[in-house]
This record gives sequence, C-alpha cells and structure tokens, in this order.
Amino acid sequence: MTDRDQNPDRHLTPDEVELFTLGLPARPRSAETHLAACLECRSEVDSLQALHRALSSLEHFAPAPAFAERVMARVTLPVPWRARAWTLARERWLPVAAALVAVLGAASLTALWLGNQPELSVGGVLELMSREVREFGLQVVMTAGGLLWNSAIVRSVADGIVSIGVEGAILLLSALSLVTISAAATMARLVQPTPLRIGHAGP
Amino acid sequence: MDYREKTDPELVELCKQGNERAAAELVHRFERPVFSLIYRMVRDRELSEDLAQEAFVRAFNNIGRYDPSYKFSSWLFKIAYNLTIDHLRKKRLDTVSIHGSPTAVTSEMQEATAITPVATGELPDQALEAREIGSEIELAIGALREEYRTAIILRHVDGRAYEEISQIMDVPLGTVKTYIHRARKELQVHLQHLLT
Repeated sequence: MTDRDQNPDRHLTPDEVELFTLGLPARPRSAETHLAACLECRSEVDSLQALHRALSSLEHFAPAPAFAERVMARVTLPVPWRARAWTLARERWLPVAAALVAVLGAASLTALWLGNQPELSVGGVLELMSREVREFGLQVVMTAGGLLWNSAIVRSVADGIVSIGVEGAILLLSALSLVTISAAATMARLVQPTPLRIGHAGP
Repeated sequence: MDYREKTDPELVELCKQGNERAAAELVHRFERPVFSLIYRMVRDRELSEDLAQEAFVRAFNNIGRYDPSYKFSSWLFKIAYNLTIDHLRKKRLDTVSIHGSPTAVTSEMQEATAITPVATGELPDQALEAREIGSEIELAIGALREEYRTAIILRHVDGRAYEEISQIMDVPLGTVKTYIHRARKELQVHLQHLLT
C-alpha cells in the first residue's frame, strides 16, 4: 500500500503534478481521485499545463547566416595517418614525382647499358650482384662486431658479467627487461587519448 | 553520401576520422539550440554568437576526448553551458545581475542587491534583440536566476530529460528537480495573468 493510498487527502507531490501536467501514463489512480476532488491541486495542474504550453511555444533563435562556415574555419579535426600520408603526397607531389622519375630513369639507363654488353648474360649479372651484396653484408657485420668488441661499454659489461657471475647477469637482464616493458606500457597509455567524462568539466 | 540522414553517433565517428562535412552537419543540426540557450542566458546576440562558436570549436577540436557512452548533444551543451557560466561569472563584477547578488541567500538580500533596469536609447541591434527576447515569457525567463533559467530552458524549450540536464549542468538529479520546480513557481507568479 502506497503513501497515497493511506492518505488520499494528501495534496499531489511536485512529481505527481508533473505526471498530470505532461499527461504521462503511470499516474496512481488514488492521485486521480484526489485531483478530481481537490480544487487546489486541480488549479496547480491547470496553471502548470498552461505554463508548459507557453514555454513549449518558444522557438529557437537562429545565429547570423554562415555561422557553420565561421565555425568550420576554426575547427581542426584529428587526421588519421592514411589521410595525412595522402595529403602529404598531394601537397608535395613535385619532389615525389621527381624522385620517381629519377629512379625510373636510372633503371632504364642501366637496362640500356646492360643490353649493349653482349659479353654479359642476365644470369651472369645477377650472380655478380649477389656476390657483391654478400661481401658487403659480411663486411658490415665484421666491422660492427669489431667496433662493439672494442667499445668501452661492451668491455665494462663483459667485466661486470665476470664479476657478478652468469646468474647475476641473467637476473640483471631480467630486471632491465621488466623496467623497459613497464616504461613502454606507460608511454603507450600516455599517448592514448583519455575519453572526456561528461561528469567532469568540459575542455 | 547524404550526411543529413546520418545519426549523431555516426557523424561523430566520421568527425574522428577527420571528416569535415560530418562536423559541418553537426553544426547545422545544433547551431540553433546551442545559440538559443546561450542567447537566453547572456541576452546579447554578438556575444552569444562568439560563445556558441567557441563551444563548437572546442567540441570538435577535442572530439578525440569525447566519451561516446553519453549523447553528443549533452557534451556539446555542457561545453556551451560551462563557457557561458564562466563568462557570466567573469562579467559579474561589471554587470550586477538584475535579480541580485549570486551570494544572496534570502529574498531580502536579493532585493537589496538587485538592480532595476532602466530604458536607454537602443541601437538597431539592441532593438532587434529587444524584439526577440522582449516577449513577456522571455522577459520572465530572463528574470530567473541563471541555474533556474538554464534548467527550465533545457527542460521545456529543448525537451531534455532530467538526467541529461543533470549531466549538462553537472548537478545531482534532485537539484535539477528543485531548480525546475522553483523556476516554474516564479514563472507562474510573473505570468499569472497570461496563464489563467
């Protein structure tokens, strides 16, 4: 049993008045009985209905013409990377086209030169190129390895491993890996935009 | 692609991909309600345009921070409301509210700190504004406290739900109900001769 059922003489609450004003369903029958008998509540509902009609009749004002254009002139929407790359290609088409022409030109000249060398077959050229690439790669690896071995950092790391032992070095490496992963995760969270909660202050 | 047929969430998604036509459609969709709310608050057409423009610009420039679990219009209105309230608070020292100091807690204190508007020579723009917001109902709304005014406009002119008004104004639901109840009572008194 509701409070209204227990006390049918009680005047309507503001919520009940609103239900009647807006003509919403789910109005308690006992409230309807009270409303039919109570002049005060009837007058309140009538007055509020009239106010509701008056307020609902108010129209929206329009801003000056070309308002949207003025807004859009100041808006900078986020641009996804694909669109950015396309824009860049469109805006800087001259250097991109020049690079393309240069590459195509060099390839054509090489093909022309090779065509004029009857002693060189296509298989021979490919074998020559692959040998050159292999030798170049090997040289790079050897040079980098030598530089690393001679560097002070590698020396001190090697000395450190000797002093703390292999188990200690593994422990140290694991700790360093954990720190690196945590730092990367934190960076990823920082880079990710935080959604703006509507309950908080606007931007 | 006809942007007018798209829903607000669809347009917002397109905005997040950098689609300016989707943003322009959202501006067209909400320029009147946003402008009207601000205009009814500050009662100055030029200033309302500036504030409305700023609200849209801030909304779109921060679209990446928008939480899609809320309605876009609520978010936009919240930005517009905050900007307007900030402006009114900054201006309060220069232009005392016609319904008294915001710190006045009793009707006597409000009366003591209130000012009575006097007629001045109107410029053409001001005459237009006076015609627009000069109807008895508009004047009665203009005489309400800012919080009451915002709540009553959002509820009765824009037809927004209590929950949405609570999100826009950043106050509890009960407070919104109180604002609207008091605003109605004041309006009933001011407009008694029209409502009977």
